[in-house]
Amino acid sequence: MGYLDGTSVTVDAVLTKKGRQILSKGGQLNISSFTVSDTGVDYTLWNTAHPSGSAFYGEAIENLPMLEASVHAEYSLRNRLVTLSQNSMAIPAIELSGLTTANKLTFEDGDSGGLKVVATLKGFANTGDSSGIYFVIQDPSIVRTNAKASRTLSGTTRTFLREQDIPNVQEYSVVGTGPDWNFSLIPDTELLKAGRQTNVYVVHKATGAYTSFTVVNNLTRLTRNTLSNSTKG
Amino acid sequence: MAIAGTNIPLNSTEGEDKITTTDKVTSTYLSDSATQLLATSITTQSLSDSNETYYYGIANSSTPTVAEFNIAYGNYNGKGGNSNSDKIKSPTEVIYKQWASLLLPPTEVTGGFFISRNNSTSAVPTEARVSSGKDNEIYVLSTRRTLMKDRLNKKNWTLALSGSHVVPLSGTLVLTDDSVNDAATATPVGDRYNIVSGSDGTVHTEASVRTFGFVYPDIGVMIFSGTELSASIPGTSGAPINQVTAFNSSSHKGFGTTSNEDKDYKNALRFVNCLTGSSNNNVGKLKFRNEEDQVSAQYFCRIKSGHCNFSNNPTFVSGSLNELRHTTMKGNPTTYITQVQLYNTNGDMVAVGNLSTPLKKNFSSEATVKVKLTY
Repeated sequence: MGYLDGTSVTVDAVLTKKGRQILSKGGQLNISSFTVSDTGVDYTLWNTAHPSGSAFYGEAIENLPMLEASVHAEYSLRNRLVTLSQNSMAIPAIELSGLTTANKLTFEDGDSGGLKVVATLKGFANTGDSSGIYFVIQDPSIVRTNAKASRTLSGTTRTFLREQDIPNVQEYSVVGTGPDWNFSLIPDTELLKAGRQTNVYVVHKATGAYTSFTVVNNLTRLTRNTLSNSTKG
Repeated sequence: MAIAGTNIPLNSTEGEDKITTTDKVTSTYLSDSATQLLATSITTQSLSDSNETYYYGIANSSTPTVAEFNIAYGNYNGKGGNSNSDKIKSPTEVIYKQWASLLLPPTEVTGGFFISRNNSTSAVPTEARVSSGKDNEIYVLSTRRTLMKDRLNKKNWTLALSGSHVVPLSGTLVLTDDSVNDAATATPVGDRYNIVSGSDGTVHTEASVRTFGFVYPDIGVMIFSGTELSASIPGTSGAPINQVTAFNSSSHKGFGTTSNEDKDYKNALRFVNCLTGSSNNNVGKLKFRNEEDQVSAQYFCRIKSGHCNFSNNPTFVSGSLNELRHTTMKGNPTTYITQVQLYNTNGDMVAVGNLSTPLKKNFSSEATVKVKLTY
């Protein structure tokens, strides 16, 4: 009789830069939750034509040697495993409208009042969940929003946050059952230097569906309101 | 089926999803990770004259700027240093009293060190070389904090000294501690063990017979009785005792010291010279380990059968409708876990771990990933 392969896997974890920062300030880690991801896995390697049968469809993936974890963990957190009903045929997705071009929202002179973006959840039959969406602006000094700010982040989004932006990253939320959620983005008008860019990540809380787009602030001059009419004498 | 795109909660109550352990990890002490520093490689670190009045650095000759240890000489009466005809306090007296105030209980500080006449044994050692009272001469070998880490590893160390006129041992005085046999003595700076004749924790002559010094593992300090050392390795008798010690001079390989106090005789260098061995018997060495307490928290991340069987990975789906890429996965999706992220209560990702190989997950399987976080 052979030994059964244990289902418990031991992983040596490393503190992220945020974790180190907390400890260096005398704080506690207070770990309370976890997520798992499949970063580095390419499901096109799932080989349904494997000659040895279905048990071997994932052989190429399972034999994949993995890389060590990086303290810049945000860089590799690209995907997250999510929980859906077993009979789900598709993964919910977020579709954005209001962008100026595909995956890009560009502010030109005259747009200093802001532009509206609509996030629509596709492929998901909501059963009353009203937690809505959250979105993350990597650098709020380039673009701000009228949505409710919820917290600052250190790397909980689906893609990396540039290290130097970590202190600036801000998460905002829009509640409601959807499937449409609106929010406005307003370009910064303090530092008028065309071409400044940042990324915005939109995540549906319940399903984990996400998408992202780039914001380009091309404002070079302000459109100021006239405060008073000119008078004579 | 519940829908969950959010984090999976952990019960951080000790013994539930979290277990905290503290492991003692020992390693080599030396900066080059070698197990020992041998006589031929021992040299002194270059220090300013004002520092060398008080102490010297012991270094590896291949890295002479990196101090592995510090050595100081103390004399209760200020002998061997410059007291300017008793107008000032000699640096050797300062060293003695500095270590006395640091290591001894408040009631013993002014009384000085009783090493040779060991005050932690039930009776005075039978072959004590100090006939009465305290030790007036001490040598202090102190370790570097960065190298000893949390503490010096007791028992697993050996210090070999060699010089002229070594008696009664054949050529070398080899020292270790007696922690393997005797309980520690409590002191204001933690446990204290006796330094006795022996090696790597194996005692050759018990402290009840002869005690050469005390070791304080928690602060990485060893205090030696100058009288006991000079009884074993007196060095060349006569005029050399009253000479200023020169590094590695064959005339100054011994612990016999002057009773003068008109200048700095650099007596600490005598300890270094005996580490470099005699010209006929080059056997001196320093062999130590350090200790580090590593606290590790282990989190059991339990992923139930119905959880995490779908992925946001762009290769998991295809087409504009985001359908599962493989029809064989419809009704039985399979994912692969490669990474676990741990979050604090604020939602900050504070730790991350990668699996060595992808872990298969589907509706027919549960996974428990034990994430070990050491800090």
